[in-house]
Amino acid sequence: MTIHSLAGDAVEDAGEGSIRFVTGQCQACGNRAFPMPPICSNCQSTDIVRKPVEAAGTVYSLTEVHVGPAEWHRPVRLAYVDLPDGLRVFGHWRGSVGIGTRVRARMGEVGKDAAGTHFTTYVFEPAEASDA
Amino acid sequence: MRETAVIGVGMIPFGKYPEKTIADLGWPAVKQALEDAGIDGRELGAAYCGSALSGMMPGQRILGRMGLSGIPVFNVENACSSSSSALRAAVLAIRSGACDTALVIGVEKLTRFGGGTLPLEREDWEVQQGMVMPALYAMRAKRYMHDFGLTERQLAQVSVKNRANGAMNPDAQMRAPVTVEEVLSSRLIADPFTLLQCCPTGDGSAAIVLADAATARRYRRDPVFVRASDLSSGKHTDGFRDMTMPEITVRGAGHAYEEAGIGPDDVDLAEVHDAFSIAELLYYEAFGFCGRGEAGAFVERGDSAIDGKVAVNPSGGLLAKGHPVGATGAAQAVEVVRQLRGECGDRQVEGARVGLAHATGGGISGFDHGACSIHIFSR
Repeated sequence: MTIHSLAGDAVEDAGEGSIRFVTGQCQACGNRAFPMPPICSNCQSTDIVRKPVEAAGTVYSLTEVHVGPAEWHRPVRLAYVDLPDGLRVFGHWRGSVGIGTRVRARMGEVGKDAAGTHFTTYVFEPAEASDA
Repeated sequence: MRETAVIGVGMIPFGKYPEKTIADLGWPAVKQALEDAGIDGRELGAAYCGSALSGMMPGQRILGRMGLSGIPVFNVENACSSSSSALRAAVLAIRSGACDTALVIGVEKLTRFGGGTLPLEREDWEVQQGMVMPALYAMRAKRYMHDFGLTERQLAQVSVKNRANGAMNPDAQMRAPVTVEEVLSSRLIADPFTLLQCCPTGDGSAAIVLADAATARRYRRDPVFVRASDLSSGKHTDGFRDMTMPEITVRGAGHAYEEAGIGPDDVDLAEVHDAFSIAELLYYEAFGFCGRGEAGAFVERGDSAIDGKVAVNPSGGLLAKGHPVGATGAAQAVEVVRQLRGECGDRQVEGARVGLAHATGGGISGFDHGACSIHIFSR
C-alpha cells in the first residue's frame, strides 16, 4: 500500500502517535507562520527558525463538504483551528467537534487517488479523546 | 482627471455552452455593447479582458474573431474579480487620457472543467490540504450563525429573493423561482449550504464600452457615469481573522463611498458577490446597508428586495444569474447600467439613480479574499 503524507515537513513525530506542527518564527520581528516559510510575511526577513509547537488548539469554524475533487474521503470535514500562540491552521477533523471545541491533531487518512495511493495528513479530534 | 462614462453594454445569457470556444462566447457580448454605444469597433482605443481560467490571451482571441485586432489589449486575471479589475484598469486609462474610448470584456467557460467545484491553485497550502470554495464560505456561515444567531431560514431567504429576481432576467442562468422549503430540502453541499445556496457553474461573457465625458456625449445623450472605481487587495495573515466581517470589502467600500462622495443611504441598487447565500448577508453589513449582526433580519423584512430599502442583486446575483467567474464583474456593471437607464422591465428598481457593483476573488491561503473591485455608477 502506497501512503503519501500531504503534511510533509510541516509536522514532526512527537512519539506515541502524536505530532507537533513545525511553525516558523521570524528572528527579526517575531512573526509566526505555519507551515514554516522561507521569508517572513510581515518584514521580509529570511532569518526564520524552526519552532515545533503542540498540535492543539480551538476550533474557530468548521464544515462538512459533500462535493469537490474525487480523491477525498467524503464528507470532507474541514476546519480552521486557532493555536494558543495566535496561529490559525486549516485542516481536517473527525469526532464530536464544534465551534469552540479544544482539539488536538494526529495523522490520519483523508483520501485515496485512482492509482490507489492513500493520502494522510494531520486531522484534528477532540483533545480529550486523543489524551485518553 | 477626466470623468469616465459607460456608453454601451452587452452580455450573453449565462448558461452552459460546452460546444463554444472562448472567442465564440465573447464576441456576441462585444458586438452587443458596440451596437448599444453606436460606436464603430475600429474607434476603440484599448481593450481590457478579464478572465480567470481561459488560458492565454482571451482578449485577442475574441477581438481577432470579430476583426478588431491591433489595439492595445490587456488580459487581466484576478480570480472572480478579473473583469471588475479589468474595468478598473480601463477607467484609469480613460481618466489619464491614455485613450478616449476603451472596451472591457469579461469571459469564462467553466463547462471546460466538467462541472464540480471551481478548480483552485494546487501550489496553495490550504488547497493541498483540501480547501474548496464552498468550504471557505461555509465556515464563514457557521461562524456567523454561531456569533449572531442567524437562522437557516434567513440564510435560505437570500436564495429565494435572488431566484425570484433571476426569474425576471432573461440573461439569468437559473430562471425558476424557489421557496424557502425547496432551498432547505435541496441536496447538502457544504454544511450549512444546500445546493440552492450555491451559485451554479456555467459559461458567459459581458462587455462594456467606456469613454471620457466629452466623447461619451457624442455617442449618447444618457451616458452613465463611473463615480468611483476601486481595486483593493487582501491583507495576508498567518493568524486570527474575523470571517464574519469581510475586511477587504469594508475597506474597498470606504474608498468607493469617499471617492463618489456618497454613503450607504444613497445607494438604490447593489450587485454584490453572492457566490454563496452567506456572502450577500456579509456584504449588507460591509457596505453599511445594515448594522453588524442585522443582515438576517434585513433580508427577512424584504429590505434588500427590488422594492426594499436597497435593491440587492436585482439581476438575480451570482446565485441566479450565474457565476462564470471572470465574466461576473463586467456582467454586474451591465446590470447596474441597465437599471440606471431604466431598461430592466419587471425587475426594474423604480427611480434608480445610484448603483454599485462589487466582485471579490479568493481561494488562496492566508487571505480572506485576494481581490475586491467596487464601482459606483450614477446618471
